[in-house]
Amino acid sequence: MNVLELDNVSVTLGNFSLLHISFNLQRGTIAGLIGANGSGKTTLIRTIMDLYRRETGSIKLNGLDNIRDAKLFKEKIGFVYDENYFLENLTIEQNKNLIRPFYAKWDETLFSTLLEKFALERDKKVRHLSKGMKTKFSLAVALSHHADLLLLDEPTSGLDPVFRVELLEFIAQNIQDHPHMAVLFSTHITADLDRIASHIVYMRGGKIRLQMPKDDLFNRCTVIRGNRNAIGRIDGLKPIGLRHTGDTFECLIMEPLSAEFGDLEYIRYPRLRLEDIMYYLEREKAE
Amino acid sequence: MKTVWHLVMKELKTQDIRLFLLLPLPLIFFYAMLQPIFQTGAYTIVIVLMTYFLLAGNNHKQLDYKFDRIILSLPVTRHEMLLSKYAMVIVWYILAAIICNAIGTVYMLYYQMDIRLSSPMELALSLSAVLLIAGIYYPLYYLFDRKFLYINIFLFTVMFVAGPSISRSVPEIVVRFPLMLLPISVAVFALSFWFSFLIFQRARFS
Repeated sequence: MNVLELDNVSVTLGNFSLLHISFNLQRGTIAGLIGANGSGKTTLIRTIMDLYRRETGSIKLNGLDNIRDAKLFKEKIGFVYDENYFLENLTIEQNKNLIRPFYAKWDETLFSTLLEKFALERDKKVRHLSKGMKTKFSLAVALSHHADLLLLDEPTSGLDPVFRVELLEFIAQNIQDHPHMAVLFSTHITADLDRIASHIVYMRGGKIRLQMPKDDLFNRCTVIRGNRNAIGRIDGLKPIGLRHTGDTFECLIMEPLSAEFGDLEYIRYPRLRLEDIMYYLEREKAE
Repeated sequence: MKTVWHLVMKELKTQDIRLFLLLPLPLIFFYAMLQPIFQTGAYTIVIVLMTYFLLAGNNHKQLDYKFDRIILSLPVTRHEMLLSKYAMVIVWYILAAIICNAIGTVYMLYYQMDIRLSSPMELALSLSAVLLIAGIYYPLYYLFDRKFLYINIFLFTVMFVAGPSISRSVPEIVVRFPLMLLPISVAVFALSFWFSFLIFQRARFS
């Protein structure tokens, strides 16, 4: 069953546009939203939150429209943005007290459990928290009102590797414990998605260029390297991001490879990472 | 309405208390000095200036914190958020009236300064002025966003400079139009809300 449904959503912001965005997010999925800077990831998240008003299409969360049912829609979303949005000179407890009244289903016990789990002290001022602790606090708030959708906009940027892994494991565990939820996770750090994402949504120039389960993506993708003379052999395979270096070439193939290519070198999962796939997809744009 | 109430409370709880004291002390002193010349009306101007200062200062601070983006990410509609902004004008006005009169009383009692506290008619007049100014302020604020800071400084300076001469005509306005200004300013304020809502509905919060 779909938690989030976007159908033909478009929005224009000056010279940039999100165009005809359609995708669904099913229960129990962690969708990684990837793309280069300016590809429209944050714009998409803000459009879902109605911070940018969509011009066409519809955005629905469990059947609720993001404009018509704005309050109920946002009641069911937990959000973590890339920057701190708590008041720095207030404590964790004071910040929570400001936010809590807006959520009808606020669960104080759950919030306390999460604070304990994240080793956050209620009476500590936000300005004294590290970046990682602030993100954990945001996550605690996002999860304490029984949201159906978790929107994460670059939550791991600027975090040290230990914090990052801890956070990712928590998100993955959380979706296992609450299978009615879905997560939309925008990030530059594709290694995070290698670790936890079940689906990948790739954006470029305000459009969704690719969306599929992560396993399917890895099954379909192969990077081929070989001698320049052999390039004709991959003609029918729609090479993506073809690059020539001296006498060699390399490219990404997203077609099933039925024939043997002899002396060509294949790089497939697990040697192939999401970062590599994104690199070739971005090169396709450059071409 | 419950959400609007929570928003108003949130605004009040997150105020920097220095805002309330920074301006009225010198302002009231300044007007108290001028009062022998202008006789009356000083408080009307001080309360209006103070309300404007609280309103504009607070909104400017919120621009820095990208407050609107956060509030609108919570279960709050755009309509409720705007309504709370307009409700805050009345709250700022009440606070300004209380603070100004309280500080005036302190000056009067402890420094034997010749200060007369605001009369009900002056309060009504200052409320009218506040509603008129806020009625102009908010549509501009939402139309120009951050750029409005400069207009803000300009408006405040004009009010501050023009204040003493306006305060001279306050008694005359009170006598000639005792109750006419208030309904007019309420109508302007309501119209301004509708206009701001049209802008706010299409606004982008980045």
